[in-house]
Amino acid sequence: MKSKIILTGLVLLLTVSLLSSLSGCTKKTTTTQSTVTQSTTTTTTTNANAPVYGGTLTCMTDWGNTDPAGFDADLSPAVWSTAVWDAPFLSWLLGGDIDTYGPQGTNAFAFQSAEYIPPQYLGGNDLVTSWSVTMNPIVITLNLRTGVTWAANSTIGMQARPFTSADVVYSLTRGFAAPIVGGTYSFVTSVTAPDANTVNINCNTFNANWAYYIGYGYMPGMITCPESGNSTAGAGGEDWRNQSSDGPFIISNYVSGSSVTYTSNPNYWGKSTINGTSYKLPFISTLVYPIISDDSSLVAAIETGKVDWNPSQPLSDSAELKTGNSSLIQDNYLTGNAEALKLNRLDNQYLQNESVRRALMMATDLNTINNLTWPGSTEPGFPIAQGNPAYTSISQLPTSTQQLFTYNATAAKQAITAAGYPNGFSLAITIQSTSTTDTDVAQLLVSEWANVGVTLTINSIDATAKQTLDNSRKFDCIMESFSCNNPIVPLSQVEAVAGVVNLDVYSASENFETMYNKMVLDTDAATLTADEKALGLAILDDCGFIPFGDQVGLNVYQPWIKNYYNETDTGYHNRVPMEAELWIAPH
Amino acid sequence: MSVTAKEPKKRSKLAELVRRMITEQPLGTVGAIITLLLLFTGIFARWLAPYGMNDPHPLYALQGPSLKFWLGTDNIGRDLLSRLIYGARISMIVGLIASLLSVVISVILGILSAYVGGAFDLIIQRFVDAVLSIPSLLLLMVVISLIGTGMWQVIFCLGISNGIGGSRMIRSLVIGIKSNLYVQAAVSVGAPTWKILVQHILPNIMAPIIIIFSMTVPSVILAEAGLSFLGFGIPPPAPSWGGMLSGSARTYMFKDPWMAIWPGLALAIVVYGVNMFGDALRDLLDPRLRGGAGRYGTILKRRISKVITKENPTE
Repeated sequence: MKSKIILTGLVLLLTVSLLSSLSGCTKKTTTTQSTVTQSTTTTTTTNANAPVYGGTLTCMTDWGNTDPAGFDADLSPAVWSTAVWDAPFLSWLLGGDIDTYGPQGTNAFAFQSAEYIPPQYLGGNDLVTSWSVTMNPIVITLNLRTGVTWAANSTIGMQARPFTSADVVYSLTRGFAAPIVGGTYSFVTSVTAPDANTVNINCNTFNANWAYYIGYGYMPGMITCPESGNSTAGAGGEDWRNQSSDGPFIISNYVSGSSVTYTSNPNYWGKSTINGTSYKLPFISTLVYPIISDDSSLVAAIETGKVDWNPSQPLSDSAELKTGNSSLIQDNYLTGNAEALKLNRLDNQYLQNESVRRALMMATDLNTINNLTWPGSTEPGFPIAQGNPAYTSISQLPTSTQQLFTYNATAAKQAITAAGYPNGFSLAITIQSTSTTDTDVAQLLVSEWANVGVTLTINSIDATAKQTLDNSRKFDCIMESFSCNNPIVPLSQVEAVAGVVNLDVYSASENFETMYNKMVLDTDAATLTADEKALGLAILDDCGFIPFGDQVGLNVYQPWIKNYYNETDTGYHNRVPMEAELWIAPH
Repeated sequence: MSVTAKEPKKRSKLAELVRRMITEQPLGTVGAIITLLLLFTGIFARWLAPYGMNDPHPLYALQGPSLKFWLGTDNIGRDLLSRLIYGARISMIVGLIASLLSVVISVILGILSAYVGGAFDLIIQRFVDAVLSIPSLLLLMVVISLIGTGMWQVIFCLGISNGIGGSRMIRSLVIGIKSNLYVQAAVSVGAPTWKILVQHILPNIMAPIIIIFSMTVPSVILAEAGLSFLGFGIPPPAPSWGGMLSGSARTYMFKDPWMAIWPGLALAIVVYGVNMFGDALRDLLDPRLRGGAGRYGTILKRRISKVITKENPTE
């Protein structure tokens, strides 16, 4: 009898807990179809009148899920992430001028799209104050900031000393010779220093993307570092203890798997004028870049205030964060990252036909795919992101290109029949097996293309195998990710020139090569923008790629962060200029 | 008036098995019903599913259960009930064919190894040892990454890997049988080896073979689900239950738990049911392999004996 009572009790308990858990799951969710435009802010910015010195800011970097690969900005095997870990203590040559052109200034540029700053918005608290370009001979002249000091470091026996052009020559020369750069700097012949505050970069040809490659991209050399730390016996610059500083912070500790800590640099030259008063930067006394490997821990850390700011929170966490901590400030922004379905227009017998490619794009319901997989954006992100001056919105595209973005299965079917395939044909789409969004897109395409008689099979493989197929052009269509803020980079990936990437589906004999070659020689910003725009339009109209939406990012921060205006990027994932200017309100 | 005594009606072996299953193995009967339901759903999926397995309904994405979509929809608006029903077909095909392949391999390897013996047996058994020493999931993932994903690749890999492992049991059974007098008699009259294997040994291990088959089916269904979950199984858009648990279901697990609940529940019920059915078959067909104290029949017998002891304490 006793056992029966216990058993009945257990069954009841189990039933109640199951029902309660299920009732919590019945909340219906609807798909969001809101459109995000550049610099859309969902909350008001948080500012306080009087700056506060001191406090600790804990901020996630975009590579905060793993340890730094090293601290030598030139020789690290992952220079792109080392650049970000080093940015608090080693200033960059160039960066965005957030005070003048950002939301707190003229608001001409939101500084939210990762990686690229149009040339007209460069020049903030960075080492280069101005530059000029001469064409005969081709020389890029950088004028350096004066009054910058390297901090002393007793570990390597380094005394405090002024920053000079010799430091820049050392770093650029060393960076250009780094194994990782490949042929990127083939346009540079030498780097010289005519005086202590000037650097000349002598080139054999002009490269319109020079500022990105040399000043604020992710390549070696753009972060200036003193020779003394790198030449120290042992790990040299790879060891954080051997690093000096000319930035707003000094690196003070690194605990593997936990965090990198920086303390404010008392000799930092940066200043900020607030309400007519000039303040010495930085305001915070300690900056912590945590290392958090999994998303759920990160969500918990932000909800509980252990992390103050994460500009790159996964968008899917938004609802959970709202529920977990309603005082958190969330801001959606366009990242400038986009995916596109690359059609093999050289090797596939069906896709060689332009009218077939156009029909397939019309048979793709881009609005539905964007809403379901990348909610928030209805405009294509590829090949040029919306934040860039060279971007053309769908409504301003030529009619022949515009109709590609309108889902029309009937017209697509007719076009495929007219192309000589009344019974349709079969294609395979190659995706990376770990990408859930790619899998969803592929599954939607299977259904949509079946309506026009095209049988699509999904080839879901690991990243290495996918790259091999991509490089050897052994695919029909393949999902690719692009960072489209800097138009020249994705355009160079599209175009088969002797440039950065030469693995794509365009032959070197195309008109695109002529257009690309002209574009990269543009010295004038307006001409460059016009040429980028023209090439972007030509690529869209040719339909070698089916572009999907500009992806929306989520910037999350605590309400006690003040003097911050939702900027997320002043160069290649660089947030240090904002970190130096914000302060922590008492809480 | 003469009265002729009626002879008791003779039941067929199958009917007798069914009768015993129902009377002696109630849990096994439930398992059998679940197994039959799986087969029925798999065979008639096309007619049972209210929508196509890959038909997206974008306006209804991430919906909970409703009259229109009984089990709700996934993140791209596909009906979860339809995908579950078609998923049953995949589980059924993979479960049955891979188990059949596995049993065939087990029987061939096991019989030959035990009957031929000597160096041949030694080599085969060391090979089996080597295969068994490698974690099966790891081995399957490596092989599938080499030959590519797909339903037939999964069936092939699961069939072979389970077959090699299962041959150990067949071998031990054959070793026991081959020393019987009737086998030695057949050898002494000069019967060819194949005839001895097919006519004298195979029929005597049929019951264990059926049991091995019934026990392999749920493990194969689970293994397929595991491989699909890890991205090494049936590629999308096929609605494998394991695949449905993976991918976007993980992303939307908290937002739309139905995406994970239904395939998980289906998998658990089917594996449990087929396992119970297999257990019951084992108890009925081969009493020597009967289960232990947890078995329903054993508990029943123990209760009956307790009652008898209470009623007749002197006994």
